[in-house]
Amino acid sequence: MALELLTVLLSIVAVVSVLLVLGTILCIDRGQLRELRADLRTRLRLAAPAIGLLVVVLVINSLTRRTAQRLSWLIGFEITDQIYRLEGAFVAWVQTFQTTELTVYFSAVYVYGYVFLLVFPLLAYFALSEQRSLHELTVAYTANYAIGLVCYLLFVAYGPRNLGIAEQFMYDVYPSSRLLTSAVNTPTNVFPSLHTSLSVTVLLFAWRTREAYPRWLAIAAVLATSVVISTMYLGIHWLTDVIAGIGLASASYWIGVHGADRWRELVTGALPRITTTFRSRP
Amino acid sequence: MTVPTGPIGRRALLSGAAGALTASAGCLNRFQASVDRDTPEQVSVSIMTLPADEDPVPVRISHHLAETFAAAGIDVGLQPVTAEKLWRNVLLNQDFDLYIGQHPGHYDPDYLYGLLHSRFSEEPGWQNPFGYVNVPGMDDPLETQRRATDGTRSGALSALVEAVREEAPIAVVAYPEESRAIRTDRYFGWGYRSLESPLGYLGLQERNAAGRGSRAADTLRLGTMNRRVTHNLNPLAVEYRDRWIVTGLLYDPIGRYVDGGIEPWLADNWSWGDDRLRVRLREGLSWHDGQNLTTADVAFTYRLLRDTTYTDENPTVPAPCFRARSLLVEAVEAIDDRTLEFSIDASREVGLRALTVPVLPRHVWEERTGLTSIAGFDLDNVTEALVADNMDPVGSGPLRFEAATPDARLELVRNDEHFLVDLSDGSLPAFAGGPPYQRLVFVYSPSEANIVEGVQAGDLDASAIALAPTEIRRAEEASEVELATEPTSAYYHVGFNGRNAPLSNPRFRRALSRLLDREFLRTEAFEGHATPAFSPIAVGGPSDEWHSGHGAGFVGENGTGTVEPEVAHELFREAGYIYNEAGELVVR
Repeated sequence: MALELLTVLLSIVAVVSVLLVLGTILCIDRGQLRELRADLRTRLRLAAPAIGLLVVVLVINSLTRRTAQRLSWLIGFEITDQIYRLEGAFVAWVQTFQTTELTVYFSAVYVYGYVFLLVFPLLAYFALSEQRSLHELTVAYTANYAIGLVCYLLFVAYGPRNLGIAEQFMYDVYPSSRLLTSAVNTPTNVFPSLHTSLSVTVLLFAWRTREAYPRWLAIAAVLATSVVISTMYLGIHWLTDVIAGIGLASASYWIGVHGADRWRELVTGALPRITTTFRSRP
Repeated sequence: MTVPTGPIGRRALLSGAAGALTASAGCLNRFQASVDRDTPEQVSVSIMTLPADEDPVPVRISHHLAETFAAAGIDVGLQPVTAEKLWRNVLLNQDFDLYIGQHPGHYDPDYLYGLLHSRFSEEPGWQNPFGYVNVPGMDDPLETQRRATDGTRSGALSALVEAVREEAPIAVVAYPEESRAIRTDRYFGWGYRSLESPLGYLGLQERNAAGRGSRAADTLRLGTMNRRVTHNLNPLAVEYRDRWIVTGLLYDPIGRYVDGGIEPWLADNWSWGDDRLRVRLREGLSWHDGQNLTTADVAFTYRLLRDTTYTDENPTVPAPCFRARSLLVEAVEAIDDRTLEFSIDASREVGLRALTVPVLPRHVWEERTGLTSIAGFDLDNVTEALVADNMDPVGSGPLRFEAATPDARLELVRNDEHFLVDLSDGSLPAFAGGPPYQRLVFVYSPSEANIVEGVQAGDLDASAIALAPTEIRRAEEASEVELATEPTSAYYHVGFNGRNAPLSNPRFRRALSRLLDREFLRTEAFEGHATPAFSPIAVGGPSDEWHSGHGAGFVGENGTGTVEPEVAHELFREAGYIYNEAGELVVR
């Protein structure tokens, strides 16, 4: 099983790498890349506070996932039925448009397209001489994960596929994709949809940086929309999750735009003091 | 307002006031009569099931019920929960309205004694989780069938089945025909009710070297979606046990069901004298930690199952499982190291069932008789014996624990000290010599599809679980994968919590159970892989018994899965219920 999971992961690395190269060729010009190489260290140092925060949140997420799930069953609200009552069989209706081609497309978008959508803007904003966007996006990603985790703790909900409302097209066609999703998530974490919120966050930033990367805006628009639809088409998320995801994206965008500078200043201001404290110890 | 002066004026005023009071009193009466009574509210029930990932069948059944219940004006909520949570809610906390699930299975109808006898309505576990009480109607035939020696047992059993139908403490849906994915290039002989009994893994045979080619044959690898076995191996923790298969490999009973009859297992023989059963244990039995297994361990086990605090003081904390069997034993006396005498309160046929519970080592479980405390608070109703995860199990079984990785795998190894290894008395011929492998590994997979792929690729020898109907199709199409199909006693059922109105009313439950279209579910929920049934005893029954027209059958047209609202309403009106203007079934 571990070997199979490794195969899936390798395929993601391979496909996403190819997509990143293509995206770079399409969207980023050579001059920017040369500048990036020359300026690499400074930019990394500048981005460190934001990226560090993101990494911390991701690590906490992966370390506490199982405990958080158990805790969630103890203290959280079971809202599957409420969601179902609210929206009924909407996702089943989405699935009536099912064709083999669409299943292949949306499965690929859900797994590969999504990862590319999240990684490429980091690279693209890294290549901008003005680094602000990178910091904003990273902080927005962090906000998505952090708020999402709290929601997952508070709300226990199964997706439409688990309530027998929808078919599970992707797992039926690509059983091994299940190894991946079960390794990174639990089936009761559907509200809100992080696939949706992160994709929409990327799209909002693509709009913000449309002058620097007009082509990326077009690509992001198509991909983000596809990811959002795929979550429902594949029977994984409810419409309610998607709407909540869009809400979370908006909040995270706001936090990213307004919080990035403050966070960097806070950390860069605090760091010298912290390091001095450590050094001055006997 | 000016007050009129003089006698007349005062009188007029008084009479006026009295009139007003009288009038308002009349008004108040009417007001009180109308308002001061409970407003009828629509009946709302929540149906608890596993999520489709864990088993797609219960969710499908719940959708069918949601539809027919809606036709009857009942509001339905669906509540998917994990297996552990489901059984915790149902078996330990009695926190449910309706649930849909699979019974662990049974070998003898006497299991109903534990399931439905009123004496267990306050006990946790598979002892009457429904809070069902019917003292003469159910308890009497339950007692009679235990003691009947003159051929009257079958009469009492028929009465039981009839009472279940009439009173509907549970509604049996169907007996699934269970299939597991296997490959037979290394091991063959998947018989012995292998999905229900540990014997399934002990009766396997090894292919000879030529047949299996270059494959190593020392490890039997099984795929499972049950991750609970990687967290807990306590045979008394009901919420972690589905069918006691893994713990059945680690722990031995005195006698085991083999091909329908109870055969001596840890015992080498037994004999009856009146109601006393004399049992002689095999020679040289030992626990996995090397200590001797003696009659003291056996006597300890039966007393522990009665009360896991192992004292005569209050509180009493009975084990949440095996109670119907352990209560058959009135007393156990260890005559010497190998001989025991049981006083049995039942016919010989039923009485032998007492010997099928797992024997636990006294030197380990004696330490677990204290009440549990969490953060310094003593809990009054739980002992360590019930909450210990027992992930270092000391059993006496043909396999012993080797290692476990939570949510990933569980490894057992062959116990070379086990009596089966050197069995020479001709008993248990199918299992003599012990398991034909060194190691048995349960590998956790997040989906059955992954397990079928694993079997196809040769990474696994079989699935440890029955496949869902959709996966049976996949396995049929997969090359190199065979299906081993067997009937099972682990029936799907709807359980009603009879502690609260209106589910406490047998008429109401019976009406609900008549909204169950078993024929529709056979084709739609089980995709044909099941036999519909009413009875919690026989697998199946007369082929037409669940059809409409039967007094307990579906009220709609059989096989359609739908019922006309008028028909459904009439059903509940007959049971004494009323509807409001909106067509909602209401109760006060």
